[in-house]
Amino acid sequence: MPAGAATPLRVLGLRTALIGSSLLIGAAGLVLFLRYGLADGFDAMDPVRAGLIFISTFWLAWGAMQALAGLTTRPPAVPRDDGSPGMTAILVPVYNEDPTTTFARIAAMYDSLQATGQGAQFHFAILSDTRDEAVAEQERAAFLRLLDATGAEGRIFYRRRLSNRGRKAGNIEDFITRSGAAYEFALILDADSLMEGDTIVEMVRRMQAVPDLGLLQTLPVVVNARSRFGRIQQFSAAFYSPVFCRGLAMMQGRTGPFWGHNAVVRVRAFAEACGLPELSGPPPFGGHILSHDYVEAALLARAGWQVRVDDDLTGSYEEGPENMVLHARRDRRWCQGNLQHSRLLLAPGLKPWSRFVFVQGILAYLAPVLWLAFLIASILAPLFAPPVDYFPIPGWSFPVLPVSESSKALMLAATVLALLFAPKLLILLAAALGGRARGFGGGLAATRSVFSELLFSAIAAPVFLMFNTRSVLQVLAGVDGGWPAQSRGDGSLSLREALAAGNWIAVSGLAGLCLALWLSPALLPWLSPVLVPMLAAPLILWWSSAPGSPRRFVTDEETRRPVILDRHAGWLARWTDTSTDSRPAVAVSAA
Amino acid sequence: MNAFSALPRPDLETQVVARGALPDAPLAMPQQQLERARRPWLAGLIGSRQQPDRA
Repeated sequence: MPAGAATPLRVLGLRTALIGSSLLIGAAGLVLFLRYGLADGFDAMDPVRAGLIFISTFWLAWGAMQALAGLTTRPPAVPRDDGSPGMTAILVPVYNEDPTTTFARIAAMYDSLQATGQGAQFHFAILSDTRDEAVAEQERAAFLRLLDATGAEGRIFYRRRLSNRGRKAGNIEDFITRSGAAYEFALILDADSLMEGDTIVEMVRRMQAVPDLGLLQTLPVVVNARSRFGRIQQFSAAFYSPVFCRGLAMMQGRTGPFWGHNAVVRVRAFAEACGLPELSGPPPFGGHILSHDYVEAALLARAGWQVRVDDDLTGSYEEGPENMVLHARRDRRWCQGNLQHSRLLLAPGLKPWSRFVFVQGILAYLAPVLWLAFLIASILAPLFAPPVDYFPIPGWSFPVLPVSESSKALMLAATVLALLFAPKLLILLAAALGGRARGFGGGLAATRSVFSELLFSAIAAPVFLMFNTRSVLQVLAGVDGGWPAQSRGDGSLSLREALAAGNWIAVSGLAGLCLALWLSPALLPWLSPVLVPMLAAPLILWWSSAPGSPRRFVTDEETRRPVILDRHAGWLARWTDTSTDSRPAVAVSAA
Repeated sequence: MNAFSALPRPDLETQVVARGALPDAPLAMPQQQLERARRPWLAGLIGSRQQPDRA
C-alpha cells in the first residue's frame, strides 16, 4: 500500500458504490419523470426531457454522495519526515495584481516561515506576467520596499517576463526551466494566497516522507470577505467544503486533485511530467490549456506520481469574488477551461479517474444548461403533445379520462430538493453534534447561517444559471474569453452597474413568463422559483454586493483569527499608511 | 545598487530582474503528448501509463 493513500481496493469499492448510487438515483428520477410525462401520451419532447432529467439528477446525486462520504469517513494517518525540510521555492505568479496587498502577503508568509526556525530552506520567487507598465513599475517599487523591510535579499526574488507566453502555466514552466534544479519542492500560490509557515513546513515534510508523492494539495479557506455575497460564499466554503473535500480525498486513490494554487509539487516530477503542449486549432478549444491544473494532476498521475489532497491541513487561505458579477466573470474563464478539457478526454495513457475528473468538470458547466433546456422543453411540450383521445377503445361508447400522474412530478421535485438541501443539512447536524459549529458562532448561529445560505442559494441559482448558460454558449460559439485579471477590492455595485450586468437576465425571464402564460400556464407555479429571481436579477446583483454585517455568516477564521491574517493586515496597514515606518508588532515578535 | 537589469540569457526570452537573479539552475521540462496520436482510439485510451508518449 502506498504511504498516505487508502488501499486501491477500498478506493475502487467506494468509487463504484458512490457512482452506482448516483446512477440509481438518476434512474429513479428518470422513471418518475416517465410515469408523469407519458401519462398524457408520448410526444417528441418526452425522450429529450427524460434524458435531461437523468443527467441532471445524476449530477445532483453525485454531489450529495461526496458529502455523504465526507461525513462518514475520517482522514487516514499520513507519514511525515521530521528532518530538515528540502529546499523549497515559493512561487507567487502575479498578473496585473495590486502589488501592495500581494507583497504584504509575501512579507507575512516570510515572517511566518522565519518563526518556524526553518526559514533558510525557503525562497520566494515573485513571477510577474504583468502586462500593464504602470503596474509593473509599482511592482518593482513594492519589491524594493519589501526587501528593505524584511532584509530578505537573496531569499525573495522578483522577475518579470516580457512575454506572457503560456499564461500562468507558462510562467511556472519558465521558472522551472531556468531555476528548477536548485529546488526539491515548489509551493505554487496565487496572488491572493496566504499560508501559515507551519503549514508550509508540514507540507514539505509530508512530501519528503513519501518519495513518489508528486503533488500535495491543501483546501484553501476563503477569508477577508466583506460584501453580503462574499460573506455568504466565505461561510459556505468554510462550513461545507471541508466535508466535500473529505469525501473527495477518500475517493482520490493516487489520482487526487490540483486546484492550481496552495499546493506543493516535487519539482523533478513536475518538470518530468507537466510540460504542457499547445492544443491544435484556435481558442477556445485549441491553443494554450487554460485550466492547466486539472491537466497537470492528470499528467503527474499518468507518469506514476501520486497526487493527494490532505483535508486535515489547515492554515491555507485565499480570497474570493465580492459580488456575483465578479464570480460569473471568473466562472467564464473556468467554464472555457473545463469545456476545453473535452479535447483531452481520450488523451493517451491517462488514468480512468483523471478522465472522470475531466467529465465532472465539463458536467459542472453543462448541468445548469441541461436544467434550463429541461425547463424550456417543458414549456414547449404542449406544442408537440398529441391530442387527447377520450375514446381509445374501439366500440366502447363511454369516454376514458387520462389518469393524473402529478404525484410523480411532486416526488421528482421532492427528490431534487432533497439532493440539493439534504447534504448541507446533514453537514449542519454533524457540526452541531460534533462541536464544529462553535467556530461558526455556535449551533444557533450556524443554523441561521445555513438556512439563510440555502435561501440565498435558491434565489441566486437562476441568475447563475443564466450567466453559466451564456458562458457555455459563448464557448461553443467559439468566442475566446481571454484571461482578464481578477478584480478584487470592495466589489459593491451601483444600481446602474447591476442593471447593466443583469438586465438581459430580467428580459429573458420576462420572455419565459410570456411563453409559459401562452403555452403552459399550468406550469407557472413550478416555474416561478426560476422566473421570479430572473426578473429580479439586477436587484439581486445590487443587494448582494453591498457590505455585509460581520455578525452574520461568522466563520471559524473570524472566531479564531489565524496569526497569518494579522501579519498580513499589519504589513498592509504599514504600507498603506505612510505616516508610520515601523515594522508591524506581530512581525517583530515573530522574526 | 544595480536594481534592475536584463538577464543575459540569449537562448531564453529577456526578463526584467530586480535586485538579485534567481538561481541559474535549468531543468528540462519536456512537452507532453496530450492529443490523440494517429492510431486507433482504443489503443490511445489504454496506452502505456508508465511511459507516456513524449513529443
